[in-house]
Amino acid sequence: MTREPVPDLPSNLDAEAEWIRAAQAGDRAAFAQLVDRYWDRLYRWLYHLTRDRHAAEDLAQETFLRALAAVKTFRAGSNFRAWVFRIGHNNFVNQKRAERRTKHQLPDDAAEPDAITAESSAEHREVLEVVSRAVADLPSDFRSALLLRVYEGMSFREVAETLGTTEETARWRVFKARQKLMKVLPQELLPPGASSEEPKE
Amino acid sequence: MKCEAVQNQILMLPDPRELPPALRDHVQACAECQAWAQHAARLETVLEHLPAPPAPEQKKESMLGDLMQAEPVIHTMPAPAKAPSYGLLAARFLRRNASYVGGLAAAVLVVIGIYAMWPSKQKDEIAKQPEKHPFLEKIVAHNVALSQAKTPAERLQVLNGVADTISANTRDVARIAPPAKLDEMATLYQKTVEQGMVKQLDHLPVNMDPAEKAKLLDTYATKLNADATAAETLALAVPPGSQPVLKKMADSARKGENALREKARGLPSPAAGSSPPTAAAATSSLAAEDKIRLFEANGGLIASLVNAGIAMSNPESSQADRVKMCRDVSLALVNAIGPAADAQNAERVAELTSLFHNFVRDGFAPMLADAKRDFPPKSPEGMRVRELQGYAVEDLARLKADIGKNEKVRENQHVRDAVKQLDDLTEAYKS
Repeated sequence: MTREPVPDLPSNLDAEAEWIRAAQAGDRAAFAQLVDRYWDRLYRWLYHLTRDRHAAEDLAQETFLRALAAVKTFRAGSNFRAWVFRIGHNNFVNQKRAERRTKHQLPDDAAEPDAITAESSAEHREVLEVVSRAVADLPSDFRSALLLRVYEGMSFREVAETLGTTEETARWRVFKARQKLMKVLPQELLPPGASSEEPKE
Repeated sequence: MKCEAVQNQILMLPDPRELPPALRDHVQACAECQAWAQHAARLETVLEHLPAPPAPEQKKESMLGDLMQAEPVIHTMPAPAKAPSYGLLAARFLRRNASYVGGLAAAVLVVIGIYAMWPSKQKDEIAKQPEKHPFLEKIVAHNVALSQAKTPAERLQVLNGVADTISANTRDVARIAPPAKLDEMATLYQKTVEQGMVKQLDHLPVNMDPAEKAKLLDTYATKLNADATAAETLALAVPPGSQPVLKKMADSARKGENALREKARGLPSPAAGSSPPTAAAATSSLAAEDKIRLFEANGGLIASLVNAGIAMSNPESSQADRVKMCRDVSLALVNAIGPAADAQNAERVAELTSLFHNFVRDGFAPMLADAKRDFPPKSPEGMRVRELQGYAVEDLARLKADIGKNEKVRENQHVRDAVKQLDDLTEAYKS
């Protein structure tokens, strides 16, 4: 189950900047550090975009291959995480286009609640399942923005940078995603026990 | 503050579990909003813990293994490092994983191989993708945001973004752009600040929290001050013919700043922020020459879009007026697509069609739907809105006809992808 808490980013930007510099100079072990750091979180995000484990893994792999080929063009000092996620997003969009052309439908792993909830405690299982399905039903633009914000803790500016849009649009998409989820998820489905935090006052 | 506005603002926060003081006071006193805030907070926490199943084939481990087994790189200083043998590495990786990588990865390998062999200038050109015009894309996205903004404060925020986009693009090209082109950009900046941002000031709610209002005004005033300083500094480094243009931009920024400071007079001093705003930095990696070339192609369209956006932001405009402005934006895009199709410029047709689709989907269609719901069909406003809907349907049909009349354009894959998206809009206009 890929649900380990994502470490706060940027937690060690100095080390990351050094890995990037080394990777740009041809050091593959340094690039491996970057792959190790971002693969799981990229995969998790792509899984929720594609709803397919195989497709998400293929896209993650393709993303890092493209990143490897293009790492020398990465501008030092800019946001590596947003750059990698943007490559991932472009791959996802291209795949959707190709899928439309071939009329091939991806299998839907979202219909496998056991896979999703195997490690969930019993009282949260239903909540997670229902929320997973509601998130899966969001338009992909809204879903991708919301999960970057919530999963990755990206600022609206970083979400915009990743998705190639403006900060206002990123904020709007996250807002619309939350608004839709609030409408489809009645309060009873989100019992106080589901939350460790109430609004801070 | 109305409950609906509070609830929307909660959902717009970076994290709904962390309420700012302005919302907290209302939430504490209002049971309905308190329940809403708690619901939103719980949802956020559940989302944070939404699981994903494990990846099925351990491709991460496989890729890491290949990377780590690759030959070590010997760094030679100070000579530039030799280009790494990424093609070789990728080939080995793909051979090992051939059973599931398949055609897609092979295609990536080809791309990598070509990339490794091409001269660096051509590589740079691939990375830049010069036919996309980020300036135009951002202006369309700002227009979407303006169509969605409901309050003067929200419009002020979006217009500040428009001013940022224009000033950053102007500064990027100021050293080499013809003064006339530079002046077109400076004029758009001037209009955005003086006719857009400043106009919102008299319409900020009278009962707005003074501290909140002071902070809002100070933020944008400081931002405009940074814009003015940046333009004045740059004016020292550009050809003499361009100096008055940058001076004009700086003057507009200072005028805007003064208007905001004047409005803040008598309000409590805002608390010091964590870091002072700076003038917007360029975000596009395009070369200045490409930016100028693309602005020459799209300058008229950008001006139409900015002007329509400013008109849309006018606090005195009615809802039906805003529908009209949205139609103006979509029409400007349709009008640009026809000539591009006539010139058989398929990539430009695809780009503009995609922008048209995004604007209608996220901006025009939702606004049209709201207006139709709010105005009875027989009311003057209702009839006007429905008339505009009819025009919009005709615009869409004309757009499709323009694209369809030329085979080279029609059969281009990017155009076909963009046109396919338009099917959604037919439904959106009908609803």
